[in-house]
Amino acid sequence: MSTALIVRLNVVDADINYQTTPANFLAMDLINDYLIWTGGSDTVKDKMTAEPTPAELNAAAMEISSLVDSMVSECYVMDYSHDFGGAYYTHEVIGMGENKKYVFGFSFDGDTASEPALEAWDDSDHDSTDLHVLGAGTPADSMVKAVCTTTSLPGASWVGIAIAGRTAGRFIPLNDGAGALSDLASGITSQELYANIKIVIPSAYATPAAETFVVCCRFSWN
Amino acid sequence: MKVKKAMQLYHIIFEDKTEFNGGPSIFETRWISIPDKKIDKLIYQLPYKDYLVLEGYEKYFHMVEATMDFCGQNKGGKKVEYIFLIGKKGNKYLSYRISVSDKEKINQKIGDISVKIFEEDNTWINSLNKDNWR
Repeated sequence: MSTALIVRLNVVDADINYQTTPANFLAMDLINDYLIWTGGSDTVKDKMTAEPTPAELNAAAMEISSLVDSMVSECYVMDYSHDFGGAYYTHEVIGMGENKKYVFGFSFDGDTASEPALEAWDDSDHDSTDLHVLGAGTPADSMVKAVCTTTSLPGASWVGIAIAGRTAGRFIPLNDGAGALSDLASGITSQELYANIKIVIPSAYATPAAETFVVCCRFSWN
Repeated sequence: MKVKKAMQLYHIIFEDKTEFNGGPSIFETRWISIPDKKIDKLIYQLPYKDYLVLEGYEKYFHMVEATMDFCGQNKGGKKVEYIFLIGKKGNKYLSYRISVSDKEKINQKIGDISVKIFEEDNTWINSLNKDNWR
């Protein structure tokens, strides 16, 4: 059978991995759940009791600084089923952009044929990177920064790799370059790889935008 | 070449003339179940039901590559993008990449095949699962 992947977001404690405390991680429903990258507000916040409206999201947009690069301060998962840890629609992705290891988790139920990778694209066709957030055609300028944290912490004030598309150096191998995943060890039903992701807007960036870029995990089986 | 009508995803003929049928789909390939015997010929069914034949390699590798979006325009579930068939001969690796999804902006259609030759020290070749060469 093909290997299955579940994307798990840490919403409790980013110092503890999935195998130790599975209950800390929300498994994304990839049809209905989505990520909200925002500056946050009194309305758009952790543990909302209703789905945020477009107007509320616009009002909570990150402001572009004229002086310094700005990290988008909040990442929430919009939990459509609102059945995780109470009847909440939003949960903060804990540790996003910080020196934390277990933030975005990728859970595989078997081996893989090649090393899983993290990529960013304009849309689900995965054939262009023209959005401003992805560098507007220059992948090295992508505002989406990622770092593999499977084996180690990203470091204080980590910079990460600007990810956009699939050219060399513009995506993240998720097993720290160690190659494909082997068979599951005895007694476990999944094995996890981890990354941390943030969005950093350059100072005085001239084009404000609300863009729905795609981040995906590329993986394989034999 | 005689190909069985009800062929599955692929068909293998070993050097000892015994045969093996692959699984029914790219989600159930049976690649791992191939007996540990020297393969003479791998006959692979392409998306439009033609066949690609790899023959005379020392080792063979089959890989289905998929993506799963989790940020942005989520469409749910995994999307298979490519199938790879790789043959090893000496220190050269010949890779056939078969497209199984359209990519309009780079003019790529389902069934398109691109061929590349890699050397033994290639990073990508070395990242492939070493247990699953046949």
